[in-house]
Amino acid sequence: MNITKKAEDKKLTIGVDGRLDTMTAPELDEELKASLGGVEELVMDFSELEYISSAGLRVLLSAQKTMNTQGEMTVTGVNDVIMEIFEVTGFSDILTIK
Amino acid sequence: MRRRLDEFSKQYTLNGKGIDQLSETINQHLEKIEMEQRNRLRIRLSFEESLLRMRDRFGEDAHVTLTMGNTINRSFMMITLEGELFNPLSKREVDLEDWSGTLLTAVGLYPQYSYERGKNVLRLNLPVRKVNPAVILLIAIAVGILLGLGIQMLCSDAQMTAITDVVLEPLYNLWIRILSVLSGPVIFFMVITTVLNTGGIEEEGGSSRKVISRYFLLSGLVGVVAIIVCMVISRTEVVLGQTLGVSISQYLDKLFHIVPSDAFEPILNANTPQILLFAFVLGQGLNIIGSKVEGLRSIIKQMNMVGLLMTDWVSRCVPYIAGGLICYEILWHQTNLLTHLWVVLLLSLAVAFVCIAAAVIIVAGEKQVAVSVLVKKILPDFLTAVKSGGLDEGYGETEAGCIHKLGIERHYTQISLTQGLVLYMPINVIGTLILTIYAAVQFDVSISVAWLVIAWMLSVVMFVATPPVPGANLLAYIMIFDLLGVPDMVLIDAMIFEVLFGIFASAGNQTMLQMDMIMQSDKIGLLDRDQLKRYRRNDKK
Repeated sequence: MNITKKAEDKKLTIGVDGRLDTMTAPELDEELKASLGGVEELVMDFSELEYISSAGLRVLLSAQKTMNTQGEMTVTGVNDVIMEIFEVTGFSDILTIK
Repeated sequence: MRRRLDEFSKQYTLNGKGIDQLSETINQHLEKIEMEQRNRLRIRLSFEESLLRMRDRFGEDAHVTLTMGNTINRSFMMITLEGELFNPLSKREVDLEDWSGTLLTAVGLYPQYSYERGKNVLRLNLPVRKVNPAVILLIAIAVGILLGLGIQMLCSDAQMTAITDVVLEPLYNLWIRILSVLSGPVIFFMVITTVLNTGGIEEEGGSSRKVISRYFLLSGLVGVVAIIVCMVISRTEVVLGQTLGVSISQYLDKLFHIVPSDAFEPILNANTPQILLFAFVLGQGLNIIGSKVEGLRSIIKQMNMVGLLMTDWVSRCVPYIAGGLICYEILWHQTNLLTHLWVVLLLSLAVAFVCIAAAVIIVAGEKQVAVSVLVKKILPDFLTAVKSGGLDEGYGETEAGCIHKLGIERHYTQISLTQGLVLYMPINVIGTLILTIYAAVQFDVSISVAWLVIAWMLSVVMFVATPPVPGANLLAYIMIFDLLGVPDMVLIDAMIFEVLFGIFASAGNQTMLQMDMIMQSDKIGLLDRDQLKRYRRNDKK
């Protein structure tokens, strides 16, 4: 998994490619925890994401809860595989997917 | 699902790598048995979540063992972890939503936790591998016919009478008694539960009255088509003139006896209209009172679950009983409807096909989408339902198809698909009416206009009110036949017809529902018209 970060003022875009699974999820979690201070708009770019596991979903949920208190979070570039995961887990109702 | 899981057992460490490997192993094994992608995901994610909770409790150095295997009739997967008692299914995250709680139960899978000899055991039984019921039935029919003809050829009249009187007639009487004793209470609880569940449509912001009325109207419409076609093809004479008045009076008398003289009469006498009215009124009353009678609502739903279990038992017995009873029909020389059953089947299929085609053409015209595009989008779901002989296996695919291919909004899809598959069975109405009319003709039951109206009303009401369970349909048949004076003997043919036609009917009902959902979702702005018109290659999947 690779994580890319792009910050513009209070907007942060985080791109994740590869697999966001139990092994790699803690890395994203740490990255988010370190970067979310002062961010009002978080964009998660999943256009290169191949799979998201239960651990990855936990990280997303945690980020969503943080952003609920300080701004907004959107998920972009979701492919069919990831969308299917969001749909069966009900995350498509929780997240703002564009 | 086609095959059994491979026998497998391996230990994994509860660290990230171990959990990912275990999850991938589960996925590969489920893929091998051709489990639907969405159900695979559900199982995989659910196990991952349980493992994460175990890791949170026991640490990354703990070990779990994944075991997969098979019992006599079903496959299972199990994870075991040695240590103090800890149920990963009951643990609720304080900070996070418990999103995994309904992952499996939503598709009828129930993981079970137990603590055995110092080990935490999490076990998931996979759905029983269902052989298409038509295959079993065809074998049973062949065995029944061969047995009947064999006995006729090889046995003397006295021996045949002995076989009929000692074995087959008691079996037939027992079967009819089982169906009769179940039909009243089971239909009663099914109807109340249906009325209670429609209350859920309103809780979601819809109008249950409108939805039910539309299902009645559309089912009634295809029922009229079925009656007209059947009457024309079978050249059935309808009793008119003076007898019409008498006939109407007879049936109306039966119908107006709808108000029972006491609370137990409907069920004790298995009086169909009384049962339906009583159940409907009670259900509506409970809906109006709402949460104050939650306990009673819950008891009724639990009684319905018991009823559904019994109907499931009934439907499982059908192929085996059918073989014996066909043999009985042959020995008893009562095969007049059985020999015409293929006509009934073909005619029902033809009428059903015309109705489905008409619905597709109307929707395509209204929404300005090419008929060929619409057909390509709905055909895979239709074929999956035909192939599996039911709707459970492909439910996830159908739901995804409605959202991604037909462009119906997700939340609307989830509500309407679940409710509609239970309430909307227009294709069954077609089959029931054609079979009932043909049976009446074969057994010289006088068919009047009033008789037809009652047959039409009962078929529509029964199939809106009862769920799409083969056993429930059979119980509906016994009520319809009883009121219309069709002999009990027809139930043997109805059993065969129900299984054979039921395979196509489930798929047909689903397609009719999809067409209705397109129309209704568009009315309230929940249809993505562009997505409906757009055809991509992977829409074929």
